[in-house]
Amino acid sequence: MKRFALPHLVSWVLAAILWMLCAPWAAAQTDGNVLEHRVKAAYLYKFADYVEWPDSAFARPDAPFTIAVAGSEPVAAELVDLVPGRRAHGRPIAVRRVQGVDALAGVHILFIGRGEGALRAAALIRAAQQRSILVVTETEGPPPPGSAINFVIVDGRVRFDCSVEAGRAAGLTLSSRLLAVAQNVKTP
Amino acid sequence: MLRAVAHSIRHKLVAVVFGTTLAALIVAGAAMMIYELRAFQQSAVSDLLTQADIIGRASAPALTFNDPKTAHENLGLLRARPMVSSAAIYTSTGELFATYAQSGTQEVRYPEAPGADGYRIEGKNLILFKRIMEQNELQGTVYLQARYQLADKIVDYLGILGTVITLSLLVALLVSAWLQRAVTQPILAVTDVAHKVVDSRDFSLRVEKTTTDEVGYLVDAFNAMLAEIGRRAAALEASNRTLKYEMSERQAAEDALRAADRRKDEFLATLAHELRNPLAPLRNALQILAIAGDKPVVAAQAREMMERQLRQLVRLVDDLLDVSRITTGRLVLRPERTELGGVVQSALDTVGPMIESRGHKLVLNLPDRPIYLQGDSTRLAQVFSNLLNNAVKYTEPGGDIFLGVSATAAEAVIRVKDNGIGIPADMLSAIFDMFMQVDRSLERLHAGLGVGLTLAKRLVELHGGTLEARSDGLGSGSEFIVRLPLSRVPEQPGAPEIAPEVQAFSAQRRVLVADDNQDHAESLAMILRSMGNEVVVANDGLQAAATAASFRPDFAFLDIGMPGLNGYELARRLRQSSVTVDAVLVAVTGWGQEKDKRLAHEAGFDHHLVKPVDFAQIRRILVATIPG
Repeated sequence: MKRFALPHLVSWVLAAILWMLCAPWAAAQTDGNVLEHRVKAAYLYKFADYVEWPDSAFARPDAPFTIAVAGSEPVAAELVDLVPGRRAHGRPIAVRRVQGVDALAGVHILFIGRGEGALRAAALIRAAQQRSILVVTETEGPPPPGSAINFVIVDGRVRFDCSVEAGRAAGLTLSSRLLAVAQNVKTP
Repeated sequence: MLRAVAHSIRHKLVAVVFGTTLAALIVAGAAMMIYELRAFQQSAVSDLLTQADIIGRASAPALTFNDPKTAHENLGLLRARPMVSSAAIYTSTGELFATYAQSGTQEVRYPEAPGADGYRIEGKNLILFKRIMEQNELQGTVYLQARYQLADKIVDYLGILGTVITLSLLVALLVSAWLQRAVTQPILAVTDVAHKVVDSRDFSLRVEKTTTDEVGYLVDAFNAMLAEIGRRAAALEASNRTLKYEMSERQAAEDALRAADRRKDEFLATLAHELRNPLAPLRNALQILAIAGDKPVVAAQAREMMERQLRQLVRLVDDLLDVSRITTGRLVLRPERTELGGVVQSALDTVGPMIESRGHKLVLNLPDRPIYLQGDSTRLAQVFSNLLNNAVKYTEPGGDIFLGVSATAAEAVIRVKDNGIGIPADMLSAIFDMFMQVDRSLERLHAGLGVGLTLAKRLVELHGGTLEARSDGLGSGSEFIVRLPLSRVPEQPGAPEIAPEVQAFSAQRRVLVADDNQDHAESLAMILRSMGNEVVVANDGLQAAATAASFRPDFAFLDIGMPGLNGYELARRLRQSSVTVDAVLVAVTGWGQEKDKRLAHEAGFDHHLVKPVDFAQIRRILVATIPG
């Protein structure tokens, strides 16, 4: 009983410590928070359920649902671990690491990590907006224009803001259920 | 008892209506309640399930994106559902993720771990777990606990049911009242009439028919039954009345028979006494004649005494014969134009010596002109002599006897009055009964058979008249009044009153007398010889037949009951024989009835005389018949 009465944060911290002890390699990560990456990777994959893509986004009926990651190798690695066996929009999920704008063909979700330079990120966002790609960023402070979802850390937990406007600009519809759990929602 | 039955029917009817209504209501109510409670439970569960589903779906993103705040807000929406007392959301790993408690609820306890999908009822609470699935992945579990107000619901239902039952029973009361009018009322009418019939035995009562159903048929049948019973009862009563009447008639007839029988017995005793009475003086007289026959004075006295006693005997036997005729209805009158004065004189001739001997004073009141009427003079004389005889007998010696004769325009009235012993008022009508005598003792003073008044009354009635007795009681004397209708034929002056009777005996006749009673035969022969006839006597029929053949009689006086050859046979033989075919045959017998006369006539007799034979009768026959 007492355990349930503990603050949520404490339980998260405990879980994180446990996880770090069990995985010694994670302790070598410079970003420090492996759990954050893992949560973000899981969120990226789950966003697919709350966003509607136009039919044109899928080139072929058997085309995989592709999640592209730029500027965050840990998240990409977590995703690669996470997706096998899972499906999104009835399709198998593929993870692609991208360096430049050329590699965006067939991508549905583009995550731009903090490791990506601002200029390249803006280029990627511009390219993505023309291809019905959900752009997810993790900037502190105001997110770059065109970012539909932006991860933020609130009280030590991974939250996100949503921009309906950015989504619509890319031809995407964000589910109201997603908006309900967003930290902030930017509407036109 | 019939009331009680009727009431019990009424109560039964009410009980049936109430019972049926109550049973139907309870069964229906119970069924409705079970159904409603099931529906209530289902709807409660289904409602809670829906709530859980909504909360689950709404909270799926919160779980997915680890947002307890949103989950908590989602649960906060349950505030609109006061039924839900507490709720919680668990993560897919079974940890408590968000909770909710209805405001005012204290000490809310949440299960440590989520249970399996489904609901259960714990006391007054409905507890439900609902797993949240998204993309076939378990996201978490919703826990809801709602107040399950089944007991309140049951109380509500019982209240409604009670109200409905009360109202229904009121309606049933109205229905049973109506039913009672429609069903019980006709039955009550029947029982009412049945009650009255039993009480009053009045079978003319009828039940009014008001319906055409089975009760109507019952009413018809009951009425028909009443009519039938009434008819039978009336018939029975009538037959009873008839029977009672017949019984009384029989009783009266039996009494009359018994009385008549008793009177007959008395009469027989009297008769024997009366018949015997004259015999002693007769025997004495005979002995006197035998001893002192040569002394003319003594002989004359003896003869006179004998004659008187003989007359008494003859009169007795005549009365007897008349009684026989009256009882057999064969008393026949020979009516002829008769002068009343002569008849009265004849009666006085008969009774005169008796009046004198008893020293009575006779007062006569006779009319100065003759009164004619149609009647049998002999019988009328008998009537008056009987009445006078009666007066003489029942008046002490030296009494007064009054005889009055008068006439009105239509009838003759003859009164015989005395100052004798009289008649009690209650015997005035009975004295005319046969064998009736006021004094019944054997030692009574006055001789007689007690038939005189009966004969007189009967004879008067045969003449179309009346005989009435009057008396002011014992010791006050009595009066007898005879009324006879007058003859409508006017007076016929100059008509010969009586045919010349006596003629000279022109010739000597040969007369045969046959009788097995030698005394009778000899006495008759002596009379006939004294008339100057030649007489031969035979003592039996055969001897008579033989004598007749040689003697060739002009007249034959034949007894009927004779040994060897009876009178009838003898008469036939004489009629067959050539020598006696024209002889005058006279039957002399003790049998004087019409039947005997007819038999005698058929056998060939010309005349029929009843013993004892009167001298005058013999003479009349001898004179009337001139032998050829």
